[in-house]
Amino acid sequence: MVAAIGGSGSRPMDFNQSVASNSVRYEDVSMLFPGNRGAPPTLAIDRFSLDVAESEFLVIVGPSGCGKSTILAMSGGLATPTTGKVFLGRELITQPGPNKAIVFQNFSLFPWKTVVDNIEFGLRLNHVAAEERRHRIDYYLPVIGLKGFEKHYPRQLSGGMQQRVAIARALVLRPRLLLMDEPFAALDAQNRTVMQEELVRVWSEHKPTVIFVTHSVEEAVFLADRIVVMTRRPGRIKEVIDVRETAGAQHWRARPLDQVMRHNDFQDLRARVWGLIRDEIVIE
Amino acid sequence: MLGVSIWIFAWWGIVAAFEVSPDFLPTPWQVAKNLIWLTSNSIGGGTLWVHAGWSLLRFLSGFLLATALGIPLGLLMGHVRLARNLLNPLFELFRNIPPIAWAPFALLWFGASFGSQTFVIFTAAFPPMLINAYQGIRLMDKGLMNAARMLGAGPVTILFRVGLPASIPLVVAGLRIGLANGWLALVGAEIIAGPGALTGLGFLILVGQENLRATLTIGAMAVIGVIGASLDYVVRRLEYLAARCK
Repeated sequence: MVAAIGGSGSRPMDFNQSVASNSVRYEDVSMLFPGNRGAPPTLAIDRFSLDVAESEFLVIVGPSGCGKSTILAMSGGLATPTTGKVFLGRELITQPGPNKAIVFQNFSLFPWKTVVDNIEFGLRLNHVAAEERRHRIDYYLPVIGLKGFEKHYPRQLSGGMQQRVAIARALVLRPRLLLMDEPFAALDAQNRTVMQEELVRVWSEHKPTVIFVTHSVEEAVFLADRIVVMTRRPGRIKEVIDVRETAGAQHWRARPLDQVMRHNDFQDLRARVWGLIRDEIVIE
Repeated sequence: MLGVSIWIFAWWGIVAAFEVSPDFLPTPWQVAKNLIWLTSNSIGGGTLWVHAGWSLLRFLSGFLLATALGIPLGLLMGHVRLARNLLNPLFELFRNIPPIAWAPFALLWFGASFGSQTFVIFTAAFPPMLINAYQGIRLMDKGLMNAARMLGAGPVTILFRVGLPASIPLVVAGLRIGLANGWLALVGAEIIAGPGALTGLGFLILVGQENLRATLTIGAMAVIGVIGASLDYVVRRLEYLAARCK
């Protein structure tokens, strides 16, 4: 099934066929926002340097205003760093594009398009042939559990279903890099848990490099290969935690969250990450 | 319908009770009779149908011109900063000049012709269409723009396949205001910017006034009101359908 979809290398959308690897490199990235009306400028990100390996699942956590969403926007080409560079493989990221797919916190689906049209829009924009579009949509609709909802409009769906459409819209592009900006923050706790598990399942099919931003420590520990903890503004890397170094952690995200959460190792790691973040939270 | 009948009846009652001269205020029946007479008899350039037809044609040409220019220009100004900075001062000046003030100027440019009337109607209908299309883009969810950019859409695609559908409710509202403005400017356009023309509902109003025939003036005014309300009804239906699509 998967091979049939990924086939025929001459198509313009086969980003995975590219020679460049799908690693991401942040080189001394800083972001300075100019102050409004004479206010002093704000340093949002301060010399952020990091290498993210191909197919790695990286989760960035930190207190509010630590600039984690800004890092994501820069990775997607929606924002340009004031100084420093971001690379995807050997390509300098300067503008958004379908090889750097983004899943937004508030879904950002096109309300006048049906589920299928929303998913298909990116494929059409990139001139993917009709037959190939059909293939990919037929593959992803059941994967995201929206078979039978093809003709529905976003407002007719629950928040969880809308976010699954947004995830499918990103994944059908076969991106080299998948960027997720607190994608489950708008969902209730139950939907959130189910979506986390489903995301792992869908992601495992092609394993694009993922950079995932969240407030939730539990989500970070469950999903991540590595966790980047940020300081409060100006955002710097406080600590990088390799979850894979914890025995058994490689399989955490492949199992149901409620089982994994009972592990002492999981709870220890969660406590450690939370401790790092708590030091950074200031009540203003 | 009941409301309309009550007011027509009240009009009738006042004329009858105070024995008003028909040259000053005719009864609704006299006005209606005169209009019916005019459907098969000519004044000036033709029957009532000819006059109404010409008025509609002038209105539509001005209105369509305003639509064709106002909406794309509004979208462009909302989307491209350079276009906004360049065109906004000009537009601010333009929209604060009342349509009737354009009429003498239109005569200089186009002469007493179809062109000058079209132009005056255009000046009335154009600003609300531009403003609403502009606001539609400015107020739309910027997340949709970012989503489209991420999917690989270029600026032109974003403008027409994301910006336009996202701003449809405001664009249609602008269409409705532009329609009303344009239709309201019609009589002024026909009276001031069309001397010598022997057609149009504005012409009928003028003829009625010059010949002290209040029945004709009031009849033409009534026709203008009814057509205006009908046009608005059509656009409201479109608005409703557009809202349902969204």
